[in-house]
Amino acid sequence: MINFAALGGAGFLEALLIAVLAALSQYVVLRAGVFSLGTVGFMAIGAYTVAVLTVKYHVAPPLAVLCGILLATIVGVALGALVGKLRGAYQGIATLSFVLVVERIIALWESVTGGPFGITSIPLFARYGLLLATAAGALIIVIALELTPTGRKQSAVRIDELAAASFGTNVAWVNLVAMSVSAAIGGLAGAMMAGNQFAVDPTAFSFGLIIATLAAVIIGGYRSFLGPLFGAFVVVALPLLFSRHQILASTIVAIVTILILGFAPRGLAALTRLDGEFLLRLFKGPLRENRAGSSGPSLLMPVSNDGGRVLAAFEIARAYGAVRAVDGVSLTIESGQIVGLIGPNGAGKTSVINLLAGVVRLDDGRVTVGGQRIDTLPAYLVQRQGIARTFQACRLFHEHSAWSNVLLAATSGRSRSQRRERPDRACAQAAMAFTGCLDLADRRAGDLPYAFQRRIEIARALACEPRFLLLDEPAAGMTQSEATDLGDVLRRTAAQGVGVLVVDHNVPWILSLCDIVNVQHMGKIIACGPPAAIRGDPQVISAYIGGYVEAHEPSSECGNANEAGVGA
Amino acid sequence: MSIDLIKNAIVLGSVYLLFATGFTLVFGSFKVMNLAHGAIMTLGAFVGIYADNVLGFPIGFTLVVAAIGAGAGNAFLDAVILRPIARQSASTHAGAEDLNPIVATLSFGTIVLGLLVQTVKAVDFTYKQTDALAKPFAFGGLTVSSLDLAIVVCAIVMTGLLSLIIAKTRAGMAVRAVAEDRAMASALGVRPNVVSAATFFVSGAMAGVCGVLVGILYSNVNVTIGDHLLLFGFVIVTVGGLGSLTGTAIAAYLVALVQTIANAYFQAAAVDLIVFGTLLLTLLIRPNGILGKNALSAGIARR
Amino acid sequence: MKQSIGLVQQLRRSAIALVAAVLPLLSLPSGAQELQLGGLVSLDGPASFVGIAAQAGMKLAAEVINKDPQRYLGNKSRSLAIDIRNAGATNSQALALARDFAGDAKYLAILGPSLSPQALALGPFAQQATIPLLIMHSPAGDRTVAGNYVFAIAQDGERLADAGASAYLKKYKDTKRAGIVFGSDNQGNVLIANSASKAFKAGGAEVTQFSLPFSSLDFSNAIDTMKRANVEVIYLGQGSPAITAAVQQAERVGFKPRYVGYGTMAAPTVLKNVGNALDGSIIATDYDPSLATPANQLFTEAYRKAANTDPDTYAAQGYATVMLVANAIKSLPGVPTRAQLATALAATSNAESVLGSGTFSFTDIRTVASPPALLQVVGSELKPYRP
Repeated sequence: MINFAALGGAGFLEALLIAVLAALSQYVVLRAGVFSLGTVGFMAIGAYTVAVLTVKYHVAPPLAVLCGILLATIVGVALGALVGKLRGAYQGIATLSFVLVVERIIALWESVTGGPFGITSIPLFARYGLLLATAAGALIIVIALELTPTGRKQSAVRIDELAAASFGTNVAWVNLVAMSVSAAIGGLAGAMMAGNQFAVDPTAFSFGLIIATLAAVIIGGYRSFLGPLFGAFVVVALPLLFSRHQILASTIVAIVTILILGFAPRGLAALTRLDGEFLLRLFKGPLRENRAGSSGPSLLMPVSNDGGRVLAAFEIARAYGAVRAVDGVSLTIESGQIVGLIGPNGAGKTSVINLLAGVVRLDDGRVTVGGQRIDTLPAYLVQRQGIARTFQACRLFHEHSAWSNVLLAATSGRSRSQRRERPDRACAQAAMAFTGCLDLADRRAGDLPYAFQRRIEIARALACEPRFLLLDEPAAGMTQSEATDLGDVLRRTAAQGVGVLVVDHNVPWILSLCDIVNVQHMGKIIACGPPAAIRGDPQVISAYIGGYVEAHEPSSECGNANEAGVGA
Repeated sequence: MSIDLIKNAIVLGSVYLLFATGFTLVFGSFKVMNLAHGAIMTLGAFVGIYADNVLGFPIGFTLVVAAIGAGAGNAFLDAVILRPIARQSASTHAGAEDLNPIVATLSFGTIVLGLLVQTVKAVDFTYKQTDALAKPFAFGGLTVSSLDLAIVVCAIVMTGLLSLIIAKTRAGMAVRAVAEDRAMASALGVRPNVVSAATFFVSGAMAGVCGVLVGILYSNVNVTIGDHLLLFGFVIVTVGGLGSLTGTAIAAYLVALVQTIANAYFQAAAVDLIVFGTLLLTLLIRPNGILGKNALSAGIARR
Repeated sequence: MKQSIGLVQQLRRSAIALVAAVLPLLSLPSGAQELQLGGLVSLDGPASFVGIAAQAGMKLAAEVINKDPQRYLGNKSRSLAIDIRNAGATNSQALALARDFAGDAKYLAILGPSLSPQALALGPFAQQATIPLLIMHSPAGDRTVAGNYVFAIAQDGERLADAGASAYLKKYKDTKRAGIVFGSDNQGNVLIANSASKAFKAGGAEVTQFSLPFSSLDFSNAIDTMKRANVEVIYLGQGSPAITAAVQQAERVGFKPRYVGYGTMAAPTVLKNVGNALDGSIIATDYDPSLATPANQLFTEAYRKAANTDPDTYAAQGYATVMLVANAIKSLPGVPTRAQLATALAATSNAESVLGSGTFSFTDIRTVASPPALLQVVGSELKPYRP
């Protein structure tokens, strides 16, 4: 006995639209990878502002709603700034505490809020017409945000915060934007709730509503703006549909919810193809038209070789507990040079890249570009110094298209003057053409074969128009011929004036590719020189077969090995 | 501040600890925030009521029966709901953040409670065979019942035992291996499904024991007893540092102490304000909880 | 857009109305009249113990009425149907369902809700939608009756507390120290605590208050505080499960005060669970189970048969609410309208009821006119208390 008639009335529509507003507020943060449960707190602020202003001060509802949104937004910005350095469940609990604190303040501040009784006889101004208009308005704002570079960065941060930061995304800033928009929409949701439900009291903004709002967005999906719409429909409609089953109603709703989750584990919205990416392609047009004419490596912008800038590390060190992962390493990468870094497992090679890229802080030593220290900068500013990287495990934003991955780097990874000189799209396109993956532009990154994912990762790094490119095991898992192709790409990259650092296990490949090879073992550089010199080095051999190696100063060839190129 | 107040805080902290230990175990190993934990505790309490009121078991047996009942309920949640959904999720989409368990466990909790209401019609019950626990001891001005002692001892022994098992035994190693890397663990001959079902069982069993003891302590069992504890369990596990049993223990007693002292001087709404305000501040000062390990963010924020 | 939705709704509404109009014609002999009421009760969440009992009472009342429509509805071709929905724990859901009932002309009145916050929101709604609303259990009393379409069936919490505390002081004249334990996050409880405090103070007793969350079962600090203050009597305003918890926790630490309470304390399960610990307590409530009227005997027996337990206050309120509506309908000829029903309800005077002392009247502001029933606990039995 399903009560379909319950979905025919204005009551359902109004409850649904308020839930949609709440879910949109929750969606904006979840989509950006901010695990905030603050929505209900913003709703409480919006609702009480409207209630107090309209009932006690007889302020006109539209003005009261604006005040509610404004107050919620101010609180949201403050909260966002406070919890900005928290992550995951800690962020969840901190924002949950915020909601409970708001609820308690409301319950205690009796002279203004009416205490536990709340405020009744609020004028009824939010019927379904206004609710529909505000929900549509909020949805448009959410979609618009999604289509801006900031919106795309937000989704990139959710999928892989580290990778996003490595491509010039100021994580703290895009998170704060998400929190503010979420707060504004939450305030609006609360204001509409007050204008629709006659009364507000503290129990309305309970743990139950927090969880229900979160559940709505998870059920609907937080990867597409359709998610909050679908999710709100499910959480509002199901209890009404089964409300005739009385005691069993909540049980049936829960069972159906679990079935939905099993059926659409990525959220109901994932069953459609409609999302921000889709709209972006629709609005900005596909790449296809101008793709035909553009091919060939020449499109990559040559790097201005201003005074032969050098990326140099001096005696850098980093320990994790008792393990000295990087122990006084020095190395230099010059413009147009391919430098290799090899070493057995656990030698600390990836740590060196993380230190150079500014992802991990140095314990000791310094890193400079053209003499300027960069080791004190956060990752996204290190990137702005012209240092791009790839990751050991491929870290594409797998839900985005290949194109979107590269475009994001072109947008957020370049300086203003670079972007003026060459439009983002042209730059992204050139980078993809250069690495030979332009044909894959519209494919979802996560669906591509591994070797192509690695190429797109390199294209993404190149789209930042870097001076230096740091590659962490780019050939891992590749066949011999794929690795050879990759080697060609890297050589062409270096020929454009980019300094390249390649970390890999594939010793023959590195030796055939690089101008200079460094060998790292137990955190220290044990050998450095042109491939020919490394090939016969007994220290290197014993490091690889597991013998004990006493660390020593790398050979003096290291600093001036420019001319020692070894061809393929 | 009276000595009674401190005693009450210690007993309350032990209740929180009993509840939160199982919660932490599952979160620490499988990154599942089990919102059904409160319902599982309630299930244990009701299984205990059946054993006590209907079958007339002595309290020791009742505890065992309740532990098995609640443990089985939690293992069911893992095997029949969480794992299939995770499998489904993994087949369409590789390795990203997964919030589905939040909804799945919440819904499972609702189902358990709904079926309990349907069975017992929301009537409340009390334990009868509790004479063994009613003995009061007087230490100077302080009266402690054997029940208070039982709860404190139970909480500390069970948490201590669990940390030992996790740290020192083969079973504990298997749990840690699965927690670290499921695929790798199975390559090493550990059966992840068995390990996860067992972990959920142990977690649920602890919730069941907690349910019976809370039922006796508060002289009442009804379908809502888990609700209040769930919120605090959630909070304590996080403040302690996710997955850290020692941190959980510290947080449990700390929250109980703040709450009890605040309760003595302020009205209830203000107590929650103080508790949650303190919590917010704690997290702002220690962003990874009291004893938490550095999160992924550590490097990015360049601390 | 707005218009198209309006249109869809109208179409759907007329379709439903059509079905609603045709179905009774098919199923009932001609001339038969089915009167439809909407029921809203919360069947999950912390107050489900209220909603579940109220629902049982409502269903039972409909059964009793339909067995003898001539007597209860004034016309043997009439029958009464109650469409009971689970209003959940949120105002949103209660309002959505209420808007449904109000939007469908076949529903004459809404019975419920059983939660105070929902009652505070539904009052103004029902008044605006001009559909009679009979609020079944909300100790927030006066505050919920927003206009001439809104009725409170339950006694006002303040009045119950005052009556209980005053009766206690009359019986135990030398009371020096009284305590009040209440949930400060519950509307009704705050009113009750303030009112009880006033009554105790007026009787010359010194009052110690202790508040905790309404849903909390941990009374250890409350009891320590009361024990230290050496109170002779405690007013307990919590729900039934919490009362069991509080009384037994006090008994465990050897503290045996007397208690005063309202309907929640008179629940059969409480008395069964706590043994003799409530002996000597005074309860002011809506329902006196020992009321020796034929109506109550009929109700008690039927309820025992249906639910296998004695009725409590909430079951009685559910039952009485339906009976009051029937009583008002009885006076209306033909097909009653909502406005007629509201007027007839407001005129209810000395109607036979299981509540109070056997008759029920509304005040001018549509709250309960008759004084609360006073009960005392003797051993573990409820007895009427006549001062």
